Amino acid sequence: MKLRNRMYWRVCLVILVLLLGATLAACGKKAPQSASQDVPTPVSDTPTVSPLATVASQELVAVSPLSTPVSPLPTVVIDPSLPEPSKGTATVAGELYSFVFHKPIPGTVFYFTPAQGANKDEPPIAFFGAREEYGDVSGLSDEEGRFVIEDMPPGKYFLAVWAPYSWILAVEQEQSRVPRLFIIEPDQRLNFGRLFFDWPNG
Amino acid sequence: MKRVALTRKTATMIVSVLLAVGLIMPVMAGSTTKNLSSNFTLVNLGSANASGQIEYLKPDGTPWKTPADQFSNLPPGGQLIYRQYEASSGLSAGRGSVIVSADQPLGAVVQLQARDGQVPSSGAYSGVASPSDKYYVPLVMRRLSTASGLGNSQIIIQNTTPGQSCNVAVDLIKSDGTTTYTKTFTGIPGGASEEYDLDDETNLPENWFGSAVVRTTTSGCTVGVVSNLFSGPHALQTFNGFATPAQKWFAPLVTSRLSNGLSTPVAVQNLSGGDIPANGITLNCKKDPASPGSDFSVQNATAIGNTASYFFNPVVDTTNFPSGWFGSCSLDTTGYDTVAFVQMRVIGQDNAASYEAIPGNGTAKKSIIPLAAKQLANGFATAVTIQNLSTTADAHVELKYIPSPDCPSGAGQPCAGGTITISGQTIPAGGSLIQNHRTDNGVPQLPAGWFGSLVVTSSDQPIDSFVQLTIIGATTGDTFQAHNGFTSTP
Repeated sequence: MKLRNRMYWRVCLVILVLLLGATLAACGKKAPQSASQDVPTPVSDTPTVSPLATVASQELVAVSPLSTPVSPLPTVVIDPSLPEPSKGTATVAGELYSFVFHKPIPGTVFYFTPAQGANKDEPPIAFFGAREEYGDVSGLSDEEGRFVIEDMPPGKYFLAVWAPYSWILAVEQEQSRVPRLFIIEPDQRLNFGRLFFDWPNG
Repeated sequence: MKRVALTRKTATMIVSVLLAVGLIMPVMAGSTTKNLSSNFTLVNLGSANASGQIEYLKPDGTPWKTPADQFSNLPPGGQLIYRQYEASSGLSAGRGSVIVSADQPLGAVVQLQARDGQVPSSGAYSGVASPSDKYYVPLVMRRLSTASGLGNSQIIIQNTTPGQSCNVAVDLIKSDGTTTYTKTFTGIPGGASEEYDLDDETNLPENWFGSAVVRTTTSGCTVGVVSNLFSGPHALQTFNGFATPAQKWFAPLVTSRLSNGLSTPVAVQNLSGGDIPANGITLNCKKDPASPGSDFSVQNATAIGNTASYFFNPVVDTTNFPSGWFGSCSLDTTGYDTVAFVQMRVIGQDNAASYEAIPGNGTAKKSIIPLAAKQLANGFATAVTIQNLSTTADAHVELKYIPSPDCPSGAGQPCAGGTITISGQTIPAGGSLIQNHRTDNGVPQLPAGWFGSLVVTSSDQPIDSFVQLTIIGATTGDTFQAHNGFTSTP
């Protein structure tokens, strides 16, 4: 009986060891894959990489704006390559992009305008153009549609780009009609990446 | 935006706007399968800050939005943009009309566009400031085969009679002057609008074209009328109906089979009360100094029935209209009341626009273009054409380019120079001056990237103008628009 019992337990122990070995082997195969830097990742799977980023992707940290409940979320990148803002302000950057013509919007004026309403999450209903006295912050895209604004006052904003007889708001993603709310915190260097506009359909 | 208690004063203008806002399903019947939506720009044409309000009405006359939007402190020459397609406008999906009231004279430019990533379609028209009990539309069509694709018209009728429902009839008239069909609308509420889509009008045959007379059949009623003309999948021409006939008209820019495909058919509607015989009206065309060819004239080859239209069409009339020609034309209909408008068709492309011909009896000596732009980096550029309404004397004009407050004005930037004044310009009698901001050599006083408004003042002869809005390099759809300038007497 004792011998049979010993045999029984030995068999069980062998089975356990084999199972454990198999499990470890399986884990051992997976672990190097997930950690490997050699495995290429499709570009479409790396939404944190900004078109403007000039630093290695390892240095970038993706954060999601608090205001965007829909998926996929627009991506904001904390970008150390951007100029350091004055204390209490932010540096923001991005690329104006027409999803009608599928190309950047170069040499075009734009402005960030403070969000309105009780919750500060509503775009304006009328557009006068940029008015500094109302907290608007304006700029001009370069020949590739890009911009950098330094010393941007923190707050919640919408972004309007000039179009013939109109101003067009940045939307959350291509083909979207949901205006994108930008939340800008103090002392941040934010790269909004590609910003989508229904341009020139003002 | 500050809110003010508003007292309506003397200056009131009314804007009729076609609105298709929000996520409505594409309309599978009708002139277009696209969802169109609107925005409009108000321009203060007065000499003091403007305050006012904007009332939106549904087709049943009930408020589309309450309370009405209000604005204040719009400076002279200042512009204010409202976009009906945004959720923030507070408008539900649908169609409606707008009444703008202000304490200063206002101009309004309304844009209709296919948005949300649709292939572009766009048109522009001016807000209706002078309602009438009768309106004329020189060209309407139903499922017409054209060189630009299948053509269809919409007629938008706004009852501009405050607080009164009105009945309206629309006579659809063939080129021989006979009425093919009369459509009636009963009880259009005050301020509200009707959209009459001829594609849906089964009382008209297919391949039909002609003209329209929109008339109120209720005493004391007035309306404003706008027409949308669709051709092919994307092209859209939007133009105002006409309330006032004249016997002389100007088309400041007529083109005939240009190398870029642009041709400008001129439609003239006979409102004389009787027939106009063949050769009864003459289109006298004066070439631009830069155009090849020479001046020429062409007359109507056939009689024109009462309220019917005749078409001078350089797309197909290769006998009378020389290829590659451009300039201005006057339409002489002496003895016969008429109205006329000009199509701008780019054959072989989706781009199309239109503008209203300019009555020859105008007296204004100042013309205002709210938006002019030279070679913006994003491709946008305008071409402004100023017409001398005198056929006997040259007009001497000064052009004042006033930069937009939004145009970059720092050192070395396009608008650093402030207002640019071009004096000593002469427009020959009956001729026009083209300020082409699309090319390097056009208006060299302006740097590329400049945008703002243009005020043209004549020291002697009456003038008027229209503007083309173009996006150079646009690769798809119809991004071409045109509208008439605003006039005032200095």
